[in-house]
Order: sequence, then structure tokens, then C-alpha cells
Amino acid sequence: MIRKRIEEYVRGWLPKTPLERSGVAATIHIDPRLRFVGNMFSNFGIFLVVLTLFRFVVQIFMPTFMNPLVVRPTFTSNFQLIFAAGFILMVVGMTLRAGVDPNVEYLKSLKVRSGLTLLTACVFGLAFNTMLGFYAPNITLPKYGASLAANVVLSFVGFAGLLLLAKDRTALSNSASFPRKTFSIMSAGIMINLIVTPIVALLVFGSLWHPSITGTVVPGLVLVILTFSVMPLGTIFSIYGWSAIFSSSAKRHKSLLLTVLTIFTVLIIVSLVI
Amino acid sequence: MSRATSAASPLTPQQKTVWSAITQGLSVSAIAKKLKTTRQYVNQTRLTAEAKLSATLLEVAQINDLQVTRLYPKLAILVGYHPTLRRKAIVTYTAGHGVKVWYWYDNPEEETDQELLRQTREYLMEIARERGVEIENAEYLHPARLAQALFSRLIPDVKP
Repeated sequence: MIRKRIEEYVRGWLPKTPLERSGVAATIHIDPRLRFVGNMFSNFGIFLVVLTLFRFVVQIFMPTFMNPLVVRPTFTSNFQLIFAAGFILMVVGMTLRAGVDPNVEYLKSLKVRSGLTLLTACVFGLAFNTMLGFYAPNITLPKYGASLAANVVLSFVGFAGLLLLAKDRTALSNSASFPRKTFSIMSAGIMINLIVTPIVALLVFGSLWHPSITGTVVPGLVLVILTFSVMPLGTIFSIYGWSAIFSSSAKRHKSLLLTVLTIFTVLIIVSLVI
Repeated sequence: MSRATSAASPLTPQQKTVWSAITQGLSVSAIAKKLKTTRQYVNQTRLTAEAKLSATLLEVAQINDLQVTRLYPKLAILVGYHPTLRRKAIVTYTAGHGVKVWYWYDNPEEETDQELLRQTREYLMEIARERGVEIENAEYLHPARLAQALFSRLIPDVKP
């Protein structure tokens, strides 16, 4: 008798439409406390990342800006760590607040998995490049040039990932759990980087070859806007969008979150050491 | 549509007979001999029956807002996904009871409708008989578990 009861306590198929509760389709349950903590972490993480990515805009409004008598404020020299902390908080926060969806259908497609892997490599690369290239205290022109080149390559990797995902649109459109809005945000970020970085590189290094390229007001202004506003926007969109997509699968596979955080910590250490 | 067919019985009696015999494992020659007809006729009827069943399963899937993942014409089984309910679904056909749509349940023991469970078990036993599948201790298994065991045997690459 006991054996029968144990055998009955199983999962299976029934020829009946599952009942909806409270008139709402079967939804993913999220613990409200976990959601609150996740929101706090992710919002603060986003704030830190935005703060560091748009640091030049922030600095303009500081009284110490361009004042040669003032020693460089210490917080600007710690942008790498602030950025890294923001990134980690964002990823952890989004994972905490994500719901546990047992049916992450789209991950079963090989093309989708490959595309997401490429996108992860792109985002990690952008984050690493940002810490290493753009915020290193001793940045030089060759280093900046190398960072721009790396940005272009990484954007192409991300673009390849997007193409792979576009090839298997069915798997994504069939999945109710795939975050379409944030995927669009990530795609926009990658495309911004892909288009804007070569223009910035042309304006920066073109001026070495022909000073008039940025010597006049208009190209110079374009360079400033692209470098300090548009490129950071592309990076933040890419990172934010990727975090949201990653959180859906990380919630299901906790080892994935640990792996990602470990890799990112290694990248932070490398960027500080180099 | 000259003959009275519906989702419940999309096949004509002749088509049903041929299709049932094929799924039970009889050869085309044996069926032709039994029905006192030609092998060509049996083959043609089989193909027509499979096409009709496929069309019926697709129609039922559409009516139930399922996104089709895979169709098995020879087994008359369709695997799909309901995006709103976020569940996998299977659409099946038996000659005796017609078409049914199955949804995955994590806690099927919460279903207390005994009549539904009884009919479900009957339907599943018919599928098993039609397809020549034997499930151990079938009479002791909960119908949902029985369904899982049966579908796993028929379509092994489908996971819930």
C-alpha cells in the first residue's frame, strides 16, 4: 500500500488544461523578500556601473574639474573597482530577483546556447576592456587605441552571437520566459559599440594623420559626444541586457552564477595587475 | 468533406481499420490479405490516414493555442508548447477515443476527479494496446505516471 502511494506521488501528463489561479496564467513564483533584495542589489549595481561609465560627465560638474591646484580625487582612481563591484552587484541582484522558471525552453537549442556564449564573451570582454583600457590610471594613446580595437572585435563577436540567436528565432519566440525587452536593449548596446567605436577610432587616430579631422569644432564635438556619452551607453546597454538574460538561466543553475563570478573576479585581478 | 469525419473521428472506418492494423505491427501484405484487397490499396489508405491524422492534430494544436514542436505522423502524436501556460503539451489520437490534449503536471495527485482519472487510464491502455506497448504494473500506476511511462516509450526524445 505504501509503495502504491509513493508511486502515485509523481509527475506526469493529464488530459486537462491546467487551472489558472486568480485569473492569471501559470506564473513564476518569486519570494518578495528575495525580489526586494535583488532589486536593491541590481539597482545599486546599475548605478555604480553608470557612474563609472559616465564618469567624465560626472566630473565636469565637480568643482575640482580642470583645477590644476587640486590633487586628483581618490575616487576617480578607483573606478576599476567601483565598476567591477557594480557589475557583480548587478548580476547577483538580477539573479536573486529572477523567478525560477522550470521551462527555460530556448536554452535547449544549440544555436541559442552558442549565441548566448558569444554574447557572454562579448560582454565580459567589454567589461574587462573597460576596466583595463579605459579606466587604467596610466592610460596612454597606444593603450587607448588597443582598447578601441578590442572593442570593435568584441562587438563583432557579440554581433555574431546576435546573428546565431536570430537564426533560431523560433526557439526564442516559443519561449515565454525569454526576456525580449532586455534582449533588445542588449542588441542595441552591441550595435552601438559596433558602429560607434570605429568612428571614434577614426576621429582619434585620423587626427594624428590629419589634425584638421578633430581640430575643427564639429568633429571635435562629435568625438566628445561619442566617446563620453554614446559609447558608455552602448556598454551599459550590453551589460544590463546580458545580466537580465543570464539571470533567467542562473536562477535555475546556481553553479552558473558562481562560474561567472569567478571568471569575472579573475578578470578584475588581471586588469589591476597589468 | 463527403464522409462524416471530425476531430473525434477524422478517419473513415476503412482508414481506421488499416491504420490500427499498421500501428499494431501487422505487415501490409497481412492486412491486404485480411481485408481481401491489394497491397497498393492498403499503402494508399495508410498514407491517406496518416495525412488526415496529421492535419487533425495540427488543427487541434491550433485551436488549443499550442506551438508545434514536433509531429510524428506514423504514431499520430504531436508535441507542442503552450506559451501562456508555459507547459509542454502532447496531442494524441486513438481509433476508439479520438484526439486528446495532454498537459504536464508537476502535482497530478492534486487532481481528484475520479471519472477523469478513470477515462484517462482507459485511454492510455488503449494507446498502449494499439501501439503494442507493455508497461509494467500499469494498473497500479497513477494515470499521469502511466502517461509519462507510455509517452517516454513512444517518443523517447521528448522530455517534459
